[in-house]
Amino acid sequence: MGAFLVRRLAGMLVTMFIISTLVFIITNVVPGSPAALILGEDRTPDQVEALNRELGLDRSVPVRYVQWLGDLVTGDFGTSYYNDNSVASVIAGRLEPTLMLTFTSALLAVAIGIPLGIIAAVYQGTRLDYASMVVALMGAALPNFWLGLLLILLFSLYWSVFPAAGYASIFDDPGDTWRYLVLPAITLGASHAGVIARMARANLLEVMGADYLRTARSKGLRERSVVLGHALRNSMIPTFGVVGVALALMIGGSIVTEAVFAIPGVGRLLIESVLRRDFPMIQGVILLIALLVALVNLAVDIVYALLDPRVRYA
Amino acid sequence: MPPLRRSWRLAWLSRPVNMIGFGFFFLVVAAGLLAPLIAPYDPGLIAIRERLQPPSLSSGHLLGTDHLGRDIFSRMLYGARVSVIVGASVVILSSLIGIVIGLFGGYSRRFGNLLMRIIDGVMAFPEIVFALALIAALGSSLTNVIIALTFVYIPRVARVVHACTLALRNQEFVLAAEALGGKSFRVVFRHILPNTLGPVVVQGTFIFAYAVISEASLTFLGVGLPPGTASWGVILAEGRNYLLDAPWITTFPGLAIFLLVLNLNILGDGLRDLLDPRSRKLL
Amino acid sequence: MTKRFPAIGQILGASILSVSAIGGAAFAQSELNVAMKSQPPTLDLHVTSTNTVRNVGAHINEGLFTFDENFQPKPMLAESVARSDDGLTYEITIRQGVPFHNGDELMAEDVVASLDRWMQRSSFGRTLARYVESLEASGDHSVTMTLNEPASFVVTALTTWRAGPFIYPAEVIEAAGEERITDPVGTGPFRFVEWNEGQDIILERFDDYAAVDAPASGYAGKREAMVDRLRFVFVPELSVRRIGVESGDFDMALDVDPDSFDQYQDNPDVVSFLGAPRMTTLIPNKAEGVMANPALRTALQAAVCVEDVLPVYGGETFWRADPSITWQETAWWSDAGSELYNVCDPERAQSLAGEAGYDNQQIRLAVSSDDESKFSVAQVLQQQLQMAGFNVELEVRDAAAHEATLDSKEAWDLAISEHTYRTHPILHSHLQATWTGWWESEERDRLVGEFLVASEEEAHEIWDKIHALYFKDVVVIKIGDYFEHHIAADEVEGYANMPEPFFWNVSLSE
Repeated sequence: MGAFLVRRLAGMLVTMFIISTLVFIITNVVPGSPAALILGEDRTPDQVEALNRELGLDRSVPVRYVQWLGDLVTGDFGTSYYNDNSVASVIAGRLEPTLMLTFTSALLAVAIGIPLGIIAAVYQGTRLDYASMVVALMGAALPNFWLGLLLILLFSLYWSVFPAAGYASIFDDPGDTWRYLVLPAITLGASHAGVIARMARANLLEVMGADYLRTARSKGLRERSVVLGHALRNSMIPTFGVVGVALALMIGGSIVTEAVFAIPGVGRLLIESVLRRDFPMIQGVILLIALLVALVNLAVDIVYALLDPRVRYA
Repeated sequence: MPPLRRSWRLAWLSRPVNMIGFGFFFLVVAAGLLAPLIAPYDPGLIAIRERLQPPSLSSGHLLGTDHLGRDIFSRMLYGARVSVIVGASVVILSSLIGIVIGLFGGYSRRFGNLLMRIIDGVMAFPEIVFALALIAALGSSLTNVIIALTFVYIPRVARVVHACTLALRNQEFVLAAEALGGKSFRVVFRHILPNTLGPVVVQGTFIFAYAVISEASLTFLGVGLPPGTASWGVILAEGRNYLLDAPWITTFPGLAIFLLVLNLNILGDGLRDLLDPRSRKLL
Repeated sequence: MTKRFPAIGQILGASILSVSAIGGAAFAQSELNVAMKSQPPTLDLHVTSTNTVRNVGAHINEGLFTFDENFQPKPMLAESVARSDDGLTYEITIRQGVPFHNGDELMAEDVVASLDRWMQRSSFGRTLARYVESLEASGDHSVTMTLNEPASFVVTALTTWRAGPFIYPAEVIEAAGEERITDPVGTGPFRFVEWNEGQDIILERFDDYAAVDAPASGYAGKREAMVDRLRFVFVPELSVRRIGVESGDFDMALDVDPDSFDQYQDNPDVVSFLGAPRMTTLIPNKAEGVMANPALRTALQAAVCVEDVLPVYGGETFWRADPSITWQETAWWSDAGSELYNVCDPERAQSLAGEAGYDNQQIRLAVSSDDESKFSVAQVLQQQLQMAGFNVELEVRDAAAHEATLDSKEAWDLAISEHTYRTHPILHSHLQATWTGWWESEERDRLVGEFLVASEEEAHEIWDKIHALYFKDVVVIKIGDYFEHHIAADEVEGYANMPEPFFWNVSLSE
């Protein structure tokens, strides 16, 4: 297990280095002037030049890359072009909403998806199966920004149940946090709930066809206990993998959701930074997302290994 | 691909679910192709004094007009064309490249493993972040959205083909062909490739659906198709400021995307039953 | 309910904004939530004219002068100003006993440090700097500015509101050095508390605030923080800003769509405000490319029909056709040269274009995809000009790429600008040859030189000449004026609806 972890962590470092280099190259060849955006409509050429000097944009791309990498090794992620704050502190400040949103959405997706999948599998071929799968498909097919806007219309404007936008930190205002998270979590969770439901159904059906269950049935166990006692546990292992993948994808999906609900998370930070050509910030956020995704995958692999004794760390 | 008897196909199509899925997809493709013939207006024609008209049968604007007085029905028809172009291009391009990578990855012992490791790495990365970075670099246009989404979906196809290739390469008929002195690439193209096509078609259907949603999401974020284009994503993105005053602008493209993606998923499930009954797990 | 901007003169007498709310300050921990589209890049008021910066920062920092409701300069941190007879020396006396948020008293050295920096960093400051020989503290509370030639606009320049000469403590200026100010300390009625990146900026009442002893008028006169906390929330989605006000999450939302106006007329819970007029112009690139040909610019000018463009700003309440590039509401309004405005004659345009040697060359109209209304204007103009025989192509980029394009002479031919009006013509950035579109003109330089040193009456005459030159040279093609639309919950009282929104003297009822 120890060697497995070391190998995986080393792989993670290599992947992150490749991603960060790619991102650096991509962002720095993009046309656009961060200085012009900061200075506004009345800027003069020498103001732009002075700000470019302040930002270090007068140096060549390779020089900037070496400097950035050097800083990175010492733990310095750089300074935002746009508002002059440290990248690390800005990202740290915006991490909580994204993590909370992703976590809540994943929880919601599992809480809806897995029961739906089980019902469909147990009642395979009946109308209930059919209805569950249509619901799952619909969840997966709704464009989530549209769903978000519709939810705001219904729950914020017409019924005034939940706030339309924003976020309350769990450290300042734990009682309010969940109110801000409900609509975004539904928006982000819906599509993944659909995928998880379909996955859970497929896996359960596969397991239910297995020999040992036929044995269990022939021993006279009731179908209900066959499903709950044997099939369910074994079918959950591959389903769990899907939850891991969904969690990783949600980190990306949160960009759209955060934009709709004005949630100050890293997803919105990324899109804002792209539009502002805030290169140090883009690099920081992408690096963070890569790290989160890698960690989620690592966690999934570890749990997989713990659940399924057949997996070897070869 | 195992030969299918005619009655099988008929039976497949006669299942109402498959018929609906296939029918709606066909309808969208037809609307896109025939848009210039059906559309009552030029989709870009601005009539500023007729802006924000609600849908009505009598005014000549069946689905109303947008903030510049453009006819939404006409824009929806042309939008179907854009969705089909984006979806089809992404599916075809990512399939072609993905098949090559997948076959190579599965057949070449030396580089195959490394290649698939990289593919796994890319696939783990959230696709929208990936597309966002690419489009930021390339600039927003129809071609660039297609290029970015193609890159995003290549790994999906490559993975499926890779899995098939691994399963097939030790099958008797492949080993026999190799024993008879068949050149590697001949064996691959003659014996392995045809057997991977079924799963690729199934995957392609889902990729089509994802591409339609991704295009709309990227456009919504301001990095997809340029505003002004007649596409469902653009109509939605431009209409969102009028959500409260002119809800019809966002309703129709939202519904259209929803229905198209829903039906593509149904179609994909149906095709999987038909072409690739073993791999239900590859969602 | 609606408040129109032009009615600001009567605003204090208007029913909803009546003074009856004075008792409102008695409540504990009142908070005013203002939703705006995006967060400012900085709170350094000197370096940028971006309006998000000013909307927030103007509550924290104050200048020496500011405008009253009739757009006349009035002292703010200054007590008085005296001009020598030769017009070369200005002695500015500063109010005594004005504390900064850090507890220090405002001194002459703070003013000198702030103005020095402003004259280096701000584009308006630099216009003034060309005339300034020296600036120094002549006492603890007085500053002397010496000019190298007489200039009539010194006080006006010091009253600038965008990228204006706001006063910071000298040590804050020194600490910033060549960088942006990160420690926003000022003398304003609100003091900076925290900036939650991407979410909000929170200010709170500055208890030791030293208000001017004069009735409130426009930005001038007595300022009072009537709420304990002032919170600016960043909400990118327009519909969400509106829903937030309707559902009570926000008290005000800035910059919402004009088309919602009619709906709020029947809604007793929400008050509509028409903001200040802004002007929309089509800017030709006068330095390089097809539009560098003045005859072709004149042809293009003749093709524009503004009444077919302006409805992109909503109902007729929200726009007006106006030839002037100075504000209709100020004394500087001019219609000199306006026979070339809104000609709307495609045939004439075509024949003029033929004479100018136009042979269907492509004309690149550069536009940013991030700005909905500019983009709409561009689309409508493209169609209009195409129908008049001009081969106009839209080149759409996101804001950062678009702004970079505008800085490059060979990259574009036409662009759209939505410009705030300036209270004084000299503050218009159009007048500088370095501004977007590069208007090089010796005649303009000569006239502006005369204008700056002229007496009041002469200045108006000279301004008319400059104004006519705008049309003759086709510096910009004026499209018209439009109004921004802000909304407030009906609990909000005392909002003065000046061109640039501010929230001192604003209270919440109940």
